[in-house]
Amino acid sequence: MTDMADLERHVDDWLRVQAPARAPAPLLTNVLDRIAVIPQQRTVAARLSVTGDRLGRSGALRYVLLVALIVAAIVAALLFAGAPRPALMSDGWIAYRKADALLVVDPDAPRVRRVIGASHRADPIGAAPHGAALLLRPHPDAIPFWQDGTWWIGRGDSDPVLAIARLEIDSSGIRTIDELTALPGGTWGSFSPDGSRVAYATDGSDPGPYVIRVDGGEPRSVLGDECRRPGCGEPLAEWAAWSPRSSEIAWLDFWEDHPKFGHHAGVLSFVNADGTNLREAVVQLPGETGGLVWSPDGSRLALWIATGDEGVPAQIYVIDADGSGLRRLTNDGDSRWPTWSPDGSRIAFGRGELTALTGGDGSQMRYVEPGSRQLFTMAADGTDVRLIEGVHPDGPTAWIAAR
Amino acid sequence: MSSAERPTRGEGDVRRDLVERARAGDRDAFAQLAADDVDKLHAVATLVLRDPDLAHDAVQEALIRAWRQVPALRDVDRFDGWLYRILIHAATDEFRRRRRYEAAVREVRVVPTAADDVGRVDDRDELERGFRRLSIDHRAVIVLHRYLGLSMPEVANALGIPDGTAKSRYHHAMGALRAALEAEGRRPLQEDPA
Repeated sequence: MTDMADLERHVDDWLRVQAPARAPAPLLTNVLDRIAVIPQQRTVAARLSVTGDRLGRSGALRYVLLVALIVAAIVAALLFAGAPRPALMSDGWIAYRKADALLVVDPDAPRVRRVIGASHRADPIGAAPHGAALLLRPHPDAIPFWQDGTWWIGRGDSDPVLAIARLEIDSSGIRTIDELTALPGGTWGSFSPDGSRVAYATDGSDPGPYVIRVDGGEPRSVLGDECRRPGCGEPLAEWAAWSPRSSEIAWLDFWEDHPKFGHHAGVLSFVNADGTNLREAVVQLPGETGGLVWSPDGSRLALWIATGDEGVPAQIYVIDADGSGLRRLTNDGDSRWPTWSPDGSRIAFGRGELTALTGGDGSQMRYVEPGSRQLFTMAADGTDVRLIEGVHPDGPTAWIAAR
Repeated sequence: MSSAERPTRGEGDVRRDLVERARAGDRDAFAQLAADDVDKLHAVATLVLRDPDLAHDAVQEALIRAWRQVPALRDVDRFDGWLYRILIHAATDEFRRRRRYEAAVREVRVVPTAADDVGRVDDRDELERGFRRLSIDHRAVIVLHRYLGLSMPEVANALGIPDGTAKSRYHHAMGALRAALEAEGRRPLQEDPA
């Protein structure tokens, strides 16, 4: 058979024969049952504006977050009394979100996955040192869209808020106790070394990192209640992380115009949790930054940096705890959301391929299709990259130490 | 939706209204859209995935994703292409998920050694085998173009790829099917790749 038209007729006949006439009745019923309880993903919480005809080329990148309010959550009793529970795996588990479910996967045996609870549409971004709690962040990936002469990126109704979910690990597995403590205004953070507190950052006008007890209470601004930095409140995004070995909190600011470093500057700063030993803008980073996480031994930090004008693609970097020795670990796709293995030997991260959308003025916005990112691990020096096959996290992940 | 099956203007207006209402959060409107489209979506997913269970899961996932994401749909007239894009993404996810478990499975099969009077059936078998060797991306182009009757620009839009890529995938896929049909008759024994 060489004639294209003949081949197409064959294919048409075959497709017609193979196509089922009707979908099974339960299919539609199941869908309708589920959408009856699933909320829609509302957008317009964040806006990217452009002053030029192409995002981020000559104009400023600014986005405005509508701070959503979240209903308070209930703090459950911590159920960690009793005899020590046996460990599941020496390397622990990587927690991730898929739609409404919170799952864990064994990175050494990717077929071993378990649903550990409801995700509340939030992604795990960090685990308590003892593996007893997860920090969650409801910032779903979103597809940008063009409207009114500008690009918009949608975010969920519920951001920005961090939440803490309790975990229970025993010989039968790992699960969430499914009670959450909400940290309104939080965008990114991590637990203190003893797991009793969380350091977290906020976007926009709230200055600097905050600390709050995991069982609630009032958040405390580490830098004081009044903004004391020049141009404070101007950073577009902040990311905070508490060293697992000390009281030191590192945070990233991404500035529209930094008083020292100028337009679109990402800077790394440090301060102790009690507000002492402030070291601001220790180093300027080459692009938009995020996903800051300390290594378990407190000697390094991992983060992603996007050096392109559009905020993509991002790659994973590590930097020493004194702000020196920045080095890039990945080179492919859009790689974000690093999380360290409990022993610090490996880093897990999500990698996705970029899709381009064209706006009404011909400008393009590139993004990673939500849910298409794949989970990888690599040695802490960037070598030995391994795909965890079949896992497509909807956002950040958190490597949980097994107890 | 093939050209012949496109709604009339009146039907189109009704559909447009349903999409707008669904976008505004009207579950009943979305339910009507889902009921209207589920058979076609299921057919496409079945053709692409070649597995009724996977197709079932992909359609279910696609419709739920569509419900969640429809508020972000800016142009209601592009709902059909947008929905097929979500479906193909969901199908790809399901396919990858299943492939992980089937990676070690190898199938050995015997192919008839001589032409016979059931050649038409053999052609279908070979098309099936050739089709299964294609990637999901290539299968999707064939199904959307040949089964749904979408034009190549419509296929490109539905898949979120440039026109040229859609055409390239189509010609590659059809070439692979042609090669499969022409080659199978010469092979007495064939082992599927894992």
